Amino acid sequence: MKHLIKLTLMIFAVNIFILAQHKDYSKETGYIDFGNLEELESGNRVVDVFLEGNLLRLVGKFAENEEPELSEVISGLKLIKAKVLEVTRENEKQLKARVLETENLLKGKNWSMLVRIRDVDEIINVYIKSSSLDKIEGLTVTSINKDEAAFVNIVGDIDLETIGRLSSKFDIPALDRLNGHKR
Amino acid sequence: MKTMKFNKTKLSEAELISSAYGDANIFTRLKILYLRKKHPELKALFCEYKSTAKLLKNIVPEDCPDTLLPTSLKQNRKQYHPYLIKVLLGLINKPALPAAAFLILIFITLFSVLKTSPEQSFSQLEVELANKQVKQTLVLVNSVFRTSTKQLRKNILSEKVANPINEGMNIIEDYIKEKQNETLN
Repeated sequence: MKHLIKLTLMIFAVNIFILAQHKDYSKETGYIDFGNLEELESGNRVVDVFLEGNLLRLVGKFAENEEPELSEVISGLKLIKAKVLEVTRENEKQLKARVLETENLLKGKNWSMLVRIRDVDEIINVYIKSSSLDKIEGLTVTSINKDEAAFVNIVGDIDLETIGRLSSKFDIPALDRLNGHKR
Repeated sequence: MKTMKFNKTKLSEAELISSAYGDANIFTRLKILYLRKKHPELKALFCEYKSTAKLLKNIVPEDCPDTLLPTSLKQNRKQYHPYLIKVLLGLINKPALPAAAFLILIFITLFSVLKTSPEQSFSQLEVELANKQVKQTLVLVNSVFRTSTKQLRKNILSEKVANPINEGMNIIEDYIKEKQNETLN
């Protein structure tokens, strides 16, 4: 009976470990928590992207033949999280505060600043988390202007050069035009 | 049975031994714990029983000579099985409830392991949507980079570098003109 209990407990622990592996990204070096952004949704336009490692690997596999470069970029990624919100009178101050809070969080976690722009109408922050000189493990982009606020976090092996080269090729509408898409 | 008396509290030797061997109930254990603190002779006796119990527990049937083993233990020795077999035998011999719980847990584990396979979790439509969303996110990141570059060119280079240089050049030009006028006069 004792053996059965021991083994049951072991399996239970393995289960918890497996389940935890699926959902908990907070331990990833390149992960950043933007807090609850849903409470700041005020306008009609909301874009929410949350793509986990499993799905990204599958997308990479599907894109292997037609878009090998994209497949290469995606295969190293563990998580893509993006939220774009319409800026309205109601949420403008809170969104600005959240952008600044996120910046403080990034600084506190020793992320490296790549771009930091403070203008009358615009705030842009681009931070990266790198483990070595040529390896980026996390990219966080937060920006706010008169129209929209964007919060992006990409976790995994990131090649900025390839991302820049690739995104100029994509013939797709920008995120701000995807009205009403809500996940 | 031998009975000891400590401060109006009666304690049988059997209770003391069963506590030392870990078989006593919680009340007896608490009683002995209390009495052990008060009476050092009882504590010494308890420790002696405890060390004997520990020694006995460490003896496996294989180490015992046949003459010392009762028949029941001899049979047990013959039935010595590896860990996994013990568990499987336990499943067959024990009541249905723990065995069922164990099997359910195994099923959950297998289910969660299988769920990790991406091919089984996502439809073609989901993959296509994900592909589009990946591209959109990359476009968004790139557009932020482009805006940053524009801002850098506009604000930093023109306002912070070019304008002060122009102003400086104007001051020098004015100064030269003034000097030339003074010379002519």
